[in-house]
Amino acid sequence: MNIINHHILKIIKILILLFTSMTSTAWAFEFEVNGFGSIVASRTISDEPLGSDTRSTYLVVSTIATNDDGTRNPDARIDNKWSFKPDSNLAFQFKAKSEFGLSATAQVTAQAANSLDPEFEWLYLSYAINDSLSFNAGRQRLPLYLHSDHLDVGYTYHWVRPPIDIYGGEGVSRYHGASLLYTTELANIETEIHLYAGNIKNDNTQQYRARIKDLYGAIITGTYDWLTLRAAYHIGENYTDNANEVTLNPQTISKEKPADLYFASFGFIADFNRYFFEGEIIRLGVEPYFENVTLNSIAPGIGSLSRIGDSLAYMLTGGYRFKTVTLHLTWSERQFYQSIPSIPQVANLTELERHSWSIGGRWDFHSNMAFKTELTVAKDGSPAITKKLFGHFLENTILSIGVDYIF
Amino acid sequence: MKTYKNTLHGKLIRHIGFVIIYLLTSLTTLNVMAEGVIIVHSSNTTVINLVDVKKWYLGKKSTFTNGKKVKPMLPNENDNLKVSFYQKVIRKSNAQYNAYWAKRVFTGKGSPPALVSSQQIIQEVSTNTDRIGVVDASLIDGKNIRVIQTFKLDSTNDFFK
Repeated sequence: MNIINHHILKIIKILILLFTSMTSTAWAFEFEVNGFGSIVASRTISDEPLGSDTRSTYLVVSTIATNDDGTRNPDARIDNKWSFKPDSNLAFQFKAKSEFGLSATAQVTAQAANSLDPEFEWLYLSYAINDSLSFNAGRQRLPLYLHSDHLDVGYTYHWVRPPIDIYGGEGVSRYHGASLLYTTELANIETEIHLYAGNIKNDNTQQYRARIKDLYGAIITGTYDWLTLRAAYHIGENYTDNANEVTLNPQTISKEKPADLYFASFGFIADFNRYFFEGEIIRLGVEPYFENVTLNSIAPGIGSLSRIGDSLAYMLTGGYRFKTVTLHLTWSERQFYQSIPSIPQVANLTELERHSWSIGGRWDFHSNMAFKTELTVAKDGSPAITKKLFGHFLENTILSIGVDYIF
Repeated sequence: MKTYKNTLHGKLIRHIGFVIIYLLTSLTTLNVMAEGVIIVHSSNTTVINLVDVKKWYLGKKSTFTNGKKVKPMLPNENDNLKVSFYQKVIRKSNAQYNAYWAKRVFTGKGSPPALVSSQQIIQEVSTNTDRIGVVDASLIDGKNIRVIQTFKLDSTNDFFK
């Protein structure tokens, strides 16, 4: 409890700091304070122990999969005891707007899985060049896939958590850089073009440091009546500063010799109010491949799913709304590659596969609060030998119950 | 043969009939009375249709046809009015509207319409040509106000039909 109080104090301190620094330069600024949060309890209700006799768990927050010393961060995982930690969060957003189209925004998020340490997920200046064009500079969420940039805001989607086969894999959530957002209407199609350039340094853990430089992305979204289509392509160079980092192979990848990365995705939302469907396919590529990846420093089952690697994933979801209740069903799958040169059976790239089914409900019991519950059955469909070596889980059934809110 | 009209029974039935008709008409008048209105300043004579209104309230468009900036407003106190407006004009449920704006606000893609009191909406709309507001029809006193559209205040839980 003391620890929680300590962190609440920390958040308040940051808030006060922000406010005083903003109001002391009070020109014609307009302030907006908003926020969101999720309180979610979850556990596995059935699991199959891993070969090494450790219990299989379900990794939810890949950006903080490990602690500084390289051990598992249990708070980022769902295990066989009820816990609020993996999915709960609380965030405040402060925005100061001037009359000339300039604004400053700070979004501070405390994740229970990260011991409620408040972190700036967004911290940027924005300039509205005109009504359809705006420019942002600073720290921003990475808009990789359909729900990536608002993944923390549970209220915005029907799930307790979007399928982790897509949203739990990359271990990166934000970049530093500049972005340009252009919206227009082309032949009755609302079109949004989003371009950005920047760098990523995820220093959250020693063991897993995602560093990407020369990162560029383009996202185009078109909405016509009930249909939204989104296509995105991102490229970057994955590198490491330090031989102990295992982002990719430290022997072949350095700052001077990075690996080329790309993320490609295509998604759609078809919303008929009573029914809705949503689907997404993503492809993540790394060049050169993991020819010489060394996983020896990683205890079995720790990091394999949280690391950037060549993969293909897709999901399909559909829901039915009646009154204030939404019922939904989701399928998702991820295929990816990994190898351990020192173990002959998997010395070459080995294809791994995992998939999950989810069924859930959302009840909007209050104007800005939603009660949610979800049952997810996740299976590792990899070949037997790799399950043992890389396996994070073999088979898990996860039950989650929670409330998402905005204010 | 006795006419049906003159029996005690007949009178009673007629009385009950009147009462029922009275109740029905008063109920329907009540229904007609409970309306929301979308309002702008009376000197704002630009062409405004409901598609424009929807786009302004969803932040997809920000100017009147004359190129002037639009400042949309919603009351912060009348939930039934707002939900009726979302359902009938925006064509979204309350949760869909809130989720739509949450997604935009927390990804830096805009700010939702200002939430202020109905009194302030009327006051601002009647003194500024760039405002548009939604209020209960009974609050309108006619001064400098142009009503674009009225809609009934009968928000339903089962909007998804």
